[in-house]
Amino acid sequence: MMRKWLYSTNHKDIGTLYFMFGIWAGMVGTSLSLLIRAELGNPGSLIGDDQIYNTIVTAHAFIMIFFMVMPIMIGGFGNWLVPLMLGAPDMAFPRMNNMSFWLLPPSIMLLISSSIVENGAGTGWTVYPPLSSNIAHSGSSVDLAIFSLHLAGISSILGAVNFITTIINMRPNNMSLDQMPLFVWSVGITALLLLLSLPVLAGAITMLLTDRNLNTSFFDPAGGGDPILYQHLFWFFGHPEVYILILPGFGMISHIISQESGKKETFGCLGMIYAMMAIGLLGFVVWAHHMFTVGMDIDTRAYFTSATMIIAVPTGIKIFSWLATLHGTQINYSPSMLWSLGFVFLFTVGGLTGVILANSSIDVTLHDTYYVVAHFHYVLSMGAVFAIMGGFVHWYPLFTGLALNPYLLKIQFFTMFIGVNLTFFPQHFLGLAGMPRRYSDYPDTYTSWNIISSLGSYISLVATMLMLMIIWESLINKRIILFPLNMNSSIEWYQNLPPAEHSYNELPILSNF
Amino acid sequence: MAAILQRAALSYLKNQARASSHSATAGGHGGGHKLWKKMSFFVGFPAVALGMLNAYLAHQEEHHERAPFVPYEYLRVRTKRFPWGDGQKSLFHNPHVNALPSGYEH
Amino acid sequence: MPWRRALPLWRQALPLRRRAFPRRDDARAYGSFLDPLDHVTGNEKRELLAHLAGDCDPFRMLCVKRGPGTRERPNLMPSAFNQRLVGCKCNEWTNHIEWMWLHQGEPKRCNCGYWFELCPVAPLLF
Repeated sequence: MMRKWLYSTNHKDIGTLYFMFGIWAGMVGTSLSLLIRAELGNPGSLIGDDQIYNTIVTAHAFIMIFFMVMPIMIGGFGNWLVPLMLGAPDMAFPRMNNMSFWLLPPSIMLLISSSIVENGAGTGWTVYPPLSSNIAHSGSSVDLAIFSLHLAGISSILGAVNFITTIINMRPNNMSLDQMPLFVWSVGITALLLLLSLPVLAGAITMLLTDRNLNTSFFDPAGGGDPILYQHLFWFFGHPEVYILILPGFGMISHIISQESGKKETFGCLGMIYAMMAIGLLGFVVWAHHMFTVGMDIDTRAYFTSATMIIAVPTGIKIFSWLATLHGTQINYSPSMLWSLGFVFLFTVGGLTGVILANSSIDVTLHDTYYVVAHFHYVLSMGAVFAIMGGFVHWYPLFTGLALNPYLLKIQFFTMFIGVNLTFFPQHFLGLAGMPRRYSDYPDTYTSWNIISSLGSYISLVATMLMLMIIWESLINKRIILFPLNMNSSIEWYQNLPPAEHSYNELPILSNF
Repeated sequence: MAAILQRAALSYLKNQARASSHSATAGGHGGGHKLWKKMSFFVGFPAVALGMLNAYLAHQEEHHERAPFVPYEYLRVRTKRFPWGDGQKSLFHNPHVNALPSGYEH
Repeated sequence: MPWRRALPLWRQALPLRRRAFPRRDDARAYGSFLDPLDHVTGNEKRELLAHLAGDCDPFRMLCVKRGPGTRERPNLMPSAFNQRLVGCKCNEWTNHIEWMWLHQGEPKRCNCGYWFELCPVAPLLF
């Protein structure tokens, strides 16, 4: 047993490990989000001071990003589906795949330790100096958080190398790149983004580490450094990171929508590939739209405004292509379809607020307010998370061979839908009214929307617990799937459910025109 | 003198690299290894020897005056003690040319 | 090395004489390295021998060019087992592959109209 799970070289087992880890970390992250909303649910102080509040905020972000979304999407779905969709026996480097996973538990332990020791790292997930330098955070919390990011970064970079090699090298003979499924494309582009952006984060946080401990002054003006340098380095990673968080979701939604619409391909498949490539490429040249208030030159701000708005074009192409895929079908409101429809609508809303924030002029008023929080929670909590939920309920029969209860799933979807919208829509109003981020208390004028937002978060908690119970119910009742209903273009379903330890006795073969 | 030797060694190496045969790196047939073996002996080792000669000759020159100590606050930053020794010396501290925040040691 | 035991005892006592250069004069000369054919075993050797004998696809992984593909003369897809996943690239503009399980003895038709049938071949392994 130890050998099977500790020394695994099986992409399906490692994918399962990632799912377990991601779901557990998601529970931790959800708890932290509830603590935040509990603190903000009423005026006054609940937990304590701003230091502990901001430590919770920081941990919430790190856990959700690095230990929930990325492991589930790239580690879980990526590892399970990419070899199956390519007709490959496993990933290119199975043992390194295992190492990528097992770097994550120590990483999350380091992060949790950083909250336990000293005063915690109350810096926000961006860890900007001078707040994060040793004068303001003199203990070891920030150092532990930095080490946690080092390990998570290594895990993702190695995973990215693995995915890129698999996708380039292990397709059936004569399967050209444009015949690869869209999810494989999305994981491939995500892997490229990871490979190119994570080293910059590693550099930035290592420079912060040496500034804190080895008397360097990269970010300290007293020694000739510049804190803005850190921001540039961080966001050069940070912006591709948010595309890393959403691109695999795009791939999964393409699969789910085409399957549920009974279409063999997504509409405009080649356009979807080009759009993902454009989003990936453009994601590298827009980072300073996170820094509009630091005092950059007006022309620089004008450039970043324009470049950011251009990303809306390929993204819009994708949204319209999904709608076109749905066009003409009699929509079968299955749970995975509901999640996909929710994704398309709510991600669009989040994207629109993003276009508003792209304008540097209005961003001066909205930067570091709850408008930004609302924007990214719409695209993450309703974009990435809805894609994860949809993918999970769509492929659950493949991973386990069992069926979930669709009636309960629909109840859970609507609960979650109401919950997240109730939580984050009012935050637009709070942001427009000027409520700043990362404060544990607020003036009385912001009370009503904060109460509503916190109530929404409790409803989302109920939805999360419902999901756990739905999974438990299916594992207990064991309704075995007799046969899947898949289109001929989805090779991943042409397996035993669940697939055998070694998927193929003989690899798939292609026939050429 | 040392700089001239250095430049001579580098340009010699560059010429060798330019003239190296195509087949050696392409690996088309197995003859390439002989070339690299010859290069190791006739280029590599002499280059190392020249480099060692260069370093020795440079060391023979007179030591120039070290910079006078001025306690600039942007240099020799010590916001936290170093984790080794007395916490004041950098990792490759050279007492001849590196000053401590309070001045040269001797 | 079991083959050494076949030598007379006085030869076994002498140290191994390594062949510094390959005996073969063909294009497989490896300089001062040993010819792999001398030391590969098992599947790797079978694969190498198959390549030398002219079979460039001993594992039957390469794409099969479509023939007439009618019901009477279906495209034959090689398989050493009872079933194999076969993918049809229907035309040059398609962005997906039509997959189907083919079982021995059962011809199947892709949606584009071409017929496929499994053709048993000997496995390279075992």
